[in-house]
Parts: sequence; structure tokens; C-alpha cells
Amino acid sequence: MKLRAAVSWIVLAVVVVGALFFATRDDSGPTTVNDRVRSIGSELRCVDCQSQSVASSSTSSARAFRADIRRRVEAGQSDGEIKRAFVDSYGEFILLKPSGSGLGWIVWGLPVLALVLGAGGLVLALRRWRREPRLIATEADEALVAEARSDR
Amino acid sequence: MKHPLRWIAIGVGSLVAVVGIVLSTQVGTSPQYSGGPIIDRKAPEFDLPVLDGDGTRVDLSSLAGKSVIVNFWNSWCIPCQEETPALKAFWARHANDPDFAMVGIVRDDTTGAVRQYVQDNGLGYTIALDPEGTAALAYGTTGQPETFAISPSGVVTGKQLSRVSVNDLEALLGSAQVG
Repeated sequence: MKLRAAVSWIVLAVVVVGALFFATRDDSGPTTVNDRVRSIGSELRCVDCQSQSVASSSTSSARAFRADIRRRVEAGQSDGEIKRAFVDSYGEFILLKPSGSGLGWIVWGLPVLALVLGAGGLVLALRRWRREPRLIATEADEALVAEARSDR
Repeated sequence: MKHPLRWIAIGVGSLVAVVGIVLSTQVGTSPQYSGGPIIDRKAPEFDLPVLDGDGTRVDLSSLAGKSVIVNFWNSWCIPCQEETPALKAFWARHANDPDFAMVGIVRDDTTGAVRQYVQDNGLGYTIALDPEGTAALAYGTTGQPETFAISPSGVVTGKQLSRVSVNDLEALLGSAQVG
């Protein structure tokens, strides 16, 4: 029985991890220079406009960003290197999606923490319910019920 | 720990409440930029053509050993125009100091407009052109005017992301000389 339960949990874990892996995998990465400039620019904040990315803004700063991204792409820098260069100059502020480091971990980490705590609580509750025997009515309980019925 | 479930429920509830409160305070606001993490770091190098310099360039490494004020500006920005008298007065005070240098870096402007502005206002310090914005990006600027102080050892010791007064410039220079 224990073995069957363990196998069930393992299968469930494999399915969840597999689903997360395939759901988050990005097979259609940008291939051309223009695609990469657009893709990197879409992850960087336009510094002199409201809530727009470098890719979607037409301000002079955004144009300068895009030109700099293009130069770096053509120089063979990776996406990560390019984004790091802008974080070096502007700080984490420049990233539209917070990174997993520094305070950015709070955004990504808290929901996971809440999920883990919630799942832990559920497991504990299930275990307790399984351990504890069902309540059986005592003689006093039976007497109380009988008395209540007879009063009707 | 008589009731671990109760504590876990309180923990999760508190967590959700804290996140909710934090997020609710952010609704309708956009992040404020107060300058990049440049202070106390090595100043980004620049190597830019000097206005009407016949191919002369100015690069930061050639100014090593001096306290340097770098001012990002252009001719059409109103705050830049408003701070021009302060920059001129400050330059007049320190122009003969061999341990001091001042560079005005032009971002997002045409050479003709800059040339006319410099002539009209009699700017005597070095004016460099940054047509591709590489220096402006390296310094983490978001616009103009923005002014930075660099120590003789090449470390950024101060910055101001708005119009400067003579007093502001003196304070920036002081930070560079101390740093």
C-alpha cells in the first residue's frame, strides 16, 4: 500500500515538473539581429517614458538604447551580457521583469513559498485526519440525542 | 507547537496579507528612477569627438589625475539653457586650475545647433559630441541635464540629475577632490 502511494506521488511529481518544463521552455528564440534587438528591448524599461519598453517607445533614449543593443548584438554579446551591461549602468530598475537576485527574489519567491507552506499544511492535515479515529458517539451522546427526540 | 496547522495557516495568511498590502501600495505608481548605481564606482570610459576639434577627441583616461565635471546637455533642453550661466560662472572660476577639467557632452542634438549655442553663449570648456549616445547610456542618464563628478583616481563621487547651480557644481567638485 505504501509502495503504491509512493509511486503515485513520484508519478505526480514527474508530471508536474515535466509540465512546468515544457510550459516554460521557449523554442522560438529570436534568430535575426532585428529579432534579438526587439526581444532584448522588450525586456528593458524605457527610462524617459511611462511604463513602456525600449522596444515599444520612440523617445530619443529608447532609440539610443536600441542602437546600443544592436551594436552589442553585432559584436557577438549574448542576451545576458547585454542586459547585464544595462543593469550595470541603470541598476535593476532597467529590467521590466525583476531578476531572481537581490530584492527581485521576493516577487518570484513569495508565491512559491506560499504554495510550499500551503501544500505542507495540507499534507499535515491529511495525515492528522488519517491518524485520528472517527468519533464514536458515547452513551452520554446517545442519551442526549434520545432526550432531544423525545422532546419533539 | 500544539497546533502546527494553525501556525502554518497564520503564516500563509500573513504572507498573503503582506504581499497584498505591498502590491496595493504600488497600484497606479510607476517606479521612480533616482540614478543608476554609479556612485563610488569607476567612471565609465568615454572617447568622443570634440566639437569643431578637427578630429580631436576627448577621452576620460587622458584626464586621469584631475577632478572632472561631466555635464550631459543639449541646446534645445530648457533646463540646460537655464543652467548655462551657472556652468559658465563655475568654469570661469576654475578654468586656470591645472587639476581640474570640465566636459560638456552633447546628447540628442545636431552639430549645427550645438555650434550655434556654444558661440552664442561663449562656452569655453570642452564640448564633446555623443551622437550614438554611448557615453550617455554608460553613465545611466535618462535625459539632460545630468552632471557627474569624477575624482582624480577616476571614481564617480557625485551626480545631479537636474539643473545645477554654481553651489551645486562647487559641491560636486568638492566631492571629486575629496574622493
